[in-house]
Amino acid sequence: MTEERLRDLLHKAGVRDAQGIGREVSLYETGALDSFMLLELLLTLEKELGVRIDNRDVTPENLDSIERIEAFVARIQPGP
Amino acid sequence: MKTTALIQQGLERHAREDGERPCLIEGDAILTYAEADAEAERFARFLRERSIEPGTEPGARVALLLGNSRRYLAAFHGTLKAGAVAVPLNPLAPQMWEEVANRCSPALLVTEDRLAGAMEASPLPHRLPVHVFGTGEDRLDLLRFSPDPVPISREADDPAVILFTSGSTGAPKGVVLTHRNVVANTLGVLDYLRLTPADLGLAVLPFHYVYGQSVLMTHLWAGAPLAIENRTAYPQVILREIARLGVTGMSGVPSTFMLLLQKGDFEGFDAPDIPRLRYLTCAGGHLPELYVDRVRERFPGADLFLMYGATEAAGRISYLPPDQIDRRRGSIGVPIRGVEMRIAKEGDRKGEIEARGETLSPGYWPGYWPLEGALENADDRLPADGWYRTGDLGRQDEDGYFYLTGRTSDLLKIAGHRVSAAEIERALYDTGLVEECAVAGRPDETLGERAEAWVVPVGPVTEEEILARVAERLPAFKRPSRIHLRDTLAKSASGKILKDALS
Repeated sequence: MTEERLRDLLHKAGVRDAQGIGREVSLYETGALDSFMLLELLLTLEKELGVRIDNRDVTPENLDSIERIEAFVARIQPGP
Repeated sequence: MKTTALIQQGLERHAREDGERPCLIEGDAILTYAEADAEAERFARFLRERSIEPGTEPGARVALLLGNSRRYLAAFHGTLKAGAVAVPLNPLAPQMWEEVANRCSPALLVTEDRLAGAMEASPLPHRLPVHVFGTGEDRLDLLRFSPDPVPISREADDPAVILFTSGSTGAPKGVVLTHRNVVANTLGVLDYLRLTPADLGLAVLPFHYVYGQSVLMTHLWAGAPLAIENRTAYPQVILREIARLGVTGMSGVPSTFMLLLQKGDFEGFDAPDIPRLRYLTCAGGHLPELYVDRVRERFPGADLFLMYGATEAAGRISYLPPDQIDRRRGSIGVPIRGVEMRIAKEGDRKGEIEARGETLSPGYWPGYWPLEGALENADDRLPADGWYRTGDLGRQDEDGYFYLTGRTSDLLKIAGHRVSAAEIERALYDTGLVEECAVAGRPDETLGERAEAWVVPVGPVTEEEILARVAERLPAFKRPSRIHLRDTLAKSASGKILKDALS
């Protein structure tokens, strides 16, 4: 998944300034993400990737910045 | 009996009587009641040094742009101790900040480092003095101020807080809450949650939101500790903290519980691990019945309180006692202590739920204030009869329990019949062909108004198929005249379908 696409999904989930937010900026520290947005994001990621995200993986370590989400997506993305 | 207390007196009483008890738990740090109260006094001193005095009515406004933390507690209570009015801002809604500043002209704003970036990118620094909490020369360091009380004279009917609500349409509205409103809500909630100092709450909701404020106030009033964890959007964090701290209660909105149940890792997390968890509360929207059942399955030892409220009511209007959930599916319950509810019997407002009591706001800032001249605006004041119009349509069962049936703004008038858009939406969902839908009225030359539906279908299905199924469920005049099939429907930040965007 490209960074552009990920920012697009964050925007659709309701994250403000999803296009401008720094790659390593904590979405929680800046107050950009709440429970409703996180749920939207997870559901769209699952739909987009065609995988079910393991509940144990729904942690700040995997999802709290664009950089972390990218690495996480790369890990769970089904191979070509 | 009318309440006469001021909001800050809850904190002050516990600081005085049992000051070493824990008040806030942030990570591993514990702030006692005595420390929390002293920090609030220091903040009041800071305001006084900025010439913010309690002398003028209705009180200077102090804007708070803060996450849940001891700083929020200090700034909120310190503002009240200085006789001023707290205006909490929503960090997630920077588009509202300037409008709020325009509406209530705060004397100053306090914020913290993690939000300072967003604040500096906004027009606020050009509008009013900004102070950032921290240590160092250019920061607001409370330790520089004395913790000795600043004597003030304030009454229970003086404004204490202005909470801005965005609403689904129109400009933000500043709901004025007096000390009496907030204290009455606190006592009304404590009447059924029965918090004691032995409880320990987990604060998931932001304090700038009326429901989060209610969680904070009920704990302070009961002398109970409240644990703050700002990453509680993450279900794993919630589950871990409940078990780690021995949390006895948690309050959330529907998305809190939906996320927890859909994405929580319950493996190895069993009821015996959380023997202290005794209640959960949900408000701020309708929790679908499926989730009501799943919450109770996952947390069998906890009572689930489903509640209904409004910012204008300082929080709570009604609650459903947990033992009534199975008997009264979908009910919003009965009024909390100190509040009356009724359903309007006649006129334009027939069917609307109304509420009255000490918790109800006197009106919206600034026009509510009964001053002579330009500030006065009758539309900004609560009706003289004291009954607040909720905008929700409802019914009552034979035992007096209330149920929501729709919104007054969703009421269509089709060929002289009053039809609730929510009723048509329910019929659409009942077809089983619809994933999401919204119904709105459109002008019609013959009928006056006609209903049209915007539908995200479950799978490949035609407009005709949906209409045929709806026809089995609704009389002809209630059926939508058109169905627009869509891939998605635009939603607000809080997840509500934006009916204004339907086209």
